[in-house]
Amino acid sequence: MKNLLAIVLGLMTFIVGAQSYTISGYIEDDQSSERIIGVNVYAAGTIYGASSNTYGFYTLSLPKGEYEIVVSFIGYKTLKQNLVIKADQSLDFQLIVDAEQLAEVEVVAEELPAEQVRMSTINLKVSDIKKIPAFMGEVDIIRAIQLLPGVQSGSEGTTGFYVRGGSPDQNLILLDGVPVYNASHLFGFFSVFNADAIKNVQLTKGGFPARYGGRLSSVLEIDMKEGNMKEFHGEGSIGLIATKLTIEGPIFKDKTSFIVSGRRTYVDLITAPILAATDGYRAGYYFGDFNAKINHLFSRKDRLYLSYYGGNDRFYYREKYSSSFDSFSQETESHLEWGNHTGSLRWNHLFSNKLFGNLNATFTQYQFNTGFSDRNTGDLPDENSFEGFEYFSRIRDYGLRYDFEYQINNKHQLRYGASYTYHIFNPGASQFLEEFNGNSLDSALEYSKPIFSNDIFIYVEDDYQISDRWRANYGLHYSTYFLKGTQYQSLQPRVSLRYLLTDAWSLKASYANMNQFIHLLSNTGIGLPTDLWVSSTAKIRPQVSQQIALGSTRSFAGNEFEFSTELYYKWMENLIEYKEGASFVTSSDWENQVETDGKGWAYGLEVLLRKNKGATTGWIGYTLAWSNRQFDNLNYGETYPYRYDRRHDVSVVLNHEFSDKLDIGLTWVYGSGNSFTAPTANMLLPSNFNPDYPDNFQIFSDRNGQRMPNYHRLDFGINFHKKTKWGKRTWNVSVYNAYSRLNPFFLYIGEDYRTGEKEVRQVSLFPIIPSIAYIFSF
Amino acid sequence: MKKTLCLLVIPLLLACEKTIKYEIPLEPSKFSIDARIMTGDRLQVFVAATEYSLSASDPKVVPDAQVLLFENDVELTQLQWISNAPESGYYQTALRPSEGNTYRIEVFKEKYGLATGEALSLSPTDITGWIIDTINQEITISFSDDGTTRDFYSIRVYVRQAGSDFPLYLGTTDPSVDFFFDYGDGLFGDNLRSGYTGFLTDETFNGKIKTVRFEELFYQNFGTSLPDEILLEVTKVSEDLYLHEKSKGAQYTGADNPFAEPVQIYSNIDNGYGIVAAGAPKREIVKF
Repeated sequence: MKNLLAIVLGLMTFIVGAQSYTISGYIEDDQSSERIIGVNVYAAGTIYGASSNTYGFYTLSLPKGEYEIVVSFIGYKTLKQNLVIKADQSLDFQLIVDAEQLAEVEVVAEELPAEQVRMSTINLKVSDIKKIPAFMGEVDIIRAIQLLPGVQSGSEGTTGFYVRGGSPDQNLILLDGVPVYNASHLFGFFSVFNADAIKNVQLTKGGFPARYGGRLSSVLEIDMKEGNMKEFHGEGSIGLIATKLTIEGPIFKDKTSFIVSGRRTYVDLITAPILAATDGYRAGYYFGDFNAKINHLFSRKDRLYLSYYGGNDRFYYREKYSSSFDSFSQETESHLEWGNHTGSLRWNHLFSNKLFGNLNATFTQYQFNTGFSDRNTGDLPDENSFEGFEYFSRIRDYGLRYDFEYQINNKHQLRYGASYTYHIFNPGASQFLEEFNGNSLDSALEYSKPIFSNDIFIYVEDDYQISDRWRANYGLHYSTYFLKGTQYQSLQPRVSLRYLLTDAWSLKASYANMNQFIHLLSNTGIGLPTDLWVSSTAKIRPQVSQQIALGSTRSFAGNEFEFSTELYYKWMENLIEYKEGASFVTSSDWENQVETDGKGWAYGLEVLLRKNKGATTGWIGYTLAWSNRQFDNLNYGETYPYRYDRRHDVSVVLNHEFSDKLDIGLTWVYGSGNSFTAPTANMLLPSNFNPDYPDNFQIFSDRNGQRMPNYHRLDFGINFHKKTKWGKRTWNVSVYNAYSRLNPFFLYIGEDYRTGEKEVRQVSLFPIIPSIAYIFSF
Repeated sequence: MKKTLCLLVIPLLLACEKTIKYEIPLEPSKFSIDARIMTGDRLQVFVAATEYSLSASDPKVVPDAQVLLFENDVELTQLQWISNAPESGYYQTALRPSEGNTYRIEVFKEKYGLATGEALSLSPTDITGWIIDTINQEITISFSDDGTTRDFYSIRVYVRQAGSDFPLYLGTTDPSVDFFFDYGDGLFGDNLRSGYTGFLTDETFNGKIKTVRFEELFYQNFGTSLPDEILLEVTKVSEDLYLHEKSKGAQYTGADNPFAEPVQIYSNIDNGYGIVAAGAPKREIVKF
């Protein structure tokens, strides 16, 4: 470690030695003053360029001289400004929307993909995501992410995603910089992100810069809109299952703005009158989200953001029976609730033209609880009884993070920072109560003790323009994690290299060492709310991974097309998995319910052909992948395929704009069947209770040794737009699974009761599902 | 909890279901065997045959197999099917295994081929003490462990009434005791695990005297009705037997749980399934 620090300090000394002048500032939307992420700012005819960060801030260092500064971003008119550089200076830009060009936008490309040093990173604009055919009328960010190469969906219809052979807990999902622990609504069929409140989405699958940490497989950054600083606007939709409304505008013009957004499903409201007709019976399900954000501009140097997200799913069932003969009555109640709350307070401060800082105080919580009760009452003593059960689990974080960006000179941009997170884990508590005639018959409380832990990291990274052709991003990420009696620490080197073969063709390579201190206990991998977040402990060591990737990116036909390929190899250690036969039901003793020290290997090839411009846009992605696991106590210690080991994965995403009144979207996906463990035979063995009478037991194939049928599906959507006096309205008609392919959700062995023959049955969730939504904006 | 699980799978009620042609690998029928080489006890071997999972038939016991017993590679005897209990599937011999020998069981029938398994017989441990508290319905048993070997144990307690033995349903908070078949399903709470057979490894008491305190949970109320005798049984068991029982219990426990991971039952039989495993019981009878 000393050697590494010496190298870094040596490089810093070398870096600071160079001399240049800096221009820096913010880039905003002309109409809303919303700051724009990823705008390309460069000096024409030179190698010097920069991109605006998450807060719309850029810095560009140039040697003394005269330059033409170009500011460009897809969807906006390109700005050009001549500038004589002889001292540091501040320069803000306001970009004007280019209506003609905006109509052509498909996938964001701030700078040519070949020029970027980072690999395995994809940006999607929400406006593009909204063009992808919606499921039940609900545009979904995670579903769009699943269509990218290297990203796989889990089971049919679910929003869990698997990046390069990793598990869902290895994805760090950040909403305005705050981790979201369960991104699923309705058992995973919808994600928690309301697209109307979101501005930008970026997924990083590998080649992680040093600023990222805490997860092995991906970082999904989702930025909420900031709110229009100049005038009030709104948008919303009325779909088959949910209604959304978003309002934004200035509180104090050009100083303070807000955005609030809400979404709620209404199946329960529609069915309530019908169920009310059924005497004594109530049941329903709904989910809802609420996003809110305020930002205030104190001065050009200081800006404050306060954002909140709250979302909840609730399923309830109540039944009451009253005897018509006597006073006896019975009340039964069940409920199931889960949800996230996140909040962040961010302070941007411009210390100087060269130094930008962001302080972020965060809070996040995911909670799940369920229970049932059964109460009998009557005149007779033995008619009065009560039985009830409650289960509860929660994870809660408080965090503080400070990030700095320092433009040293025209070749080096330094990022460094530190983060502290205090985790509180309540992995599971259950309570059982039983009463008879007012006397407690039995009560049982079973719980896992809360775990309090401290998660700290510091990092430093340098973006280094080595020469016209070579560019590198390298850095170190040091993290430490401690809880009562246990401490872990790790130093994680990261490096990405880019070599330009031509202006539009580059070769890239990266290496990233990652560490993860928290784990998700999951039985099904389909994002059930019962999945438990647990901490590393003295017994459960942190997950570790190393990933290398090699790739090539090329733009051609006037940058209309982009073709990229990436090879990756990732190996993981200290993975955990439920022991055979264990599940969340027995999770109060969770440390003894898991197998530890598992190993994993994932490798594959990703290919992406993308068309960014023209009336027809979209992409074709293909992934060839392998993902395996090995635990000493599972599958006799032999390596076995991961549950979502999927050999081939294809996605085709196409949009065509016929006019500004009509556009269509189409997606087709194909995936090799998921692996599963099949019962191959039945056998008799003596019963444990009474050895004289045998019990029936099952013999299984090798773990995950069988494959379900392949998955494929076509979705189709059409949008009819119309400008109105008050704004714009769109009718969206979507068809999910257009040729009604019955894809496997799970398989089981059933019996034909007429013939007694046993057969394999496949359960599929969704046949063809048409939907319609009315979308409006003003 | 089952209600909760039902709530979770409600979306599946909306699902489409169809029968598909799916080729689960054809698993030819083989023997499933359970042979416990219990030092000093009469030997019985359970023999049945497996059935392919898509077969319309259920697995059945095999009454006409040839079952041979070998001691240190020398054939001792052919076991005889217990014909007065045709459903039981047991073969037996009057021979009693002695400690320190390797016993092999060979089971043959033309249809299933030859299945074999072997185990090294064990020597029993000592029960060093016990307390039967009939007022509080508690039973405490102490036994010694050999510090030079990695050992596994099972504990059962019986009441003996009118010449018959009935196993007691026991509970304990001792974390070193596992009940692989816990019929309590968390009913007793407070981390009290329960079952008829408690299993232990000597991880936490290697070379020491181990004392375990059990509560008697179901069968007898000692305070009002004393049994004739109590039979305490501590059996040193082979690792194979321990792993086999553990996996059987895990599969049994998870059978009704749609979210439980599938469990492969531990087997040490060549060309078959099940177990040939060793044990050495030590028994003490407490009279009242």
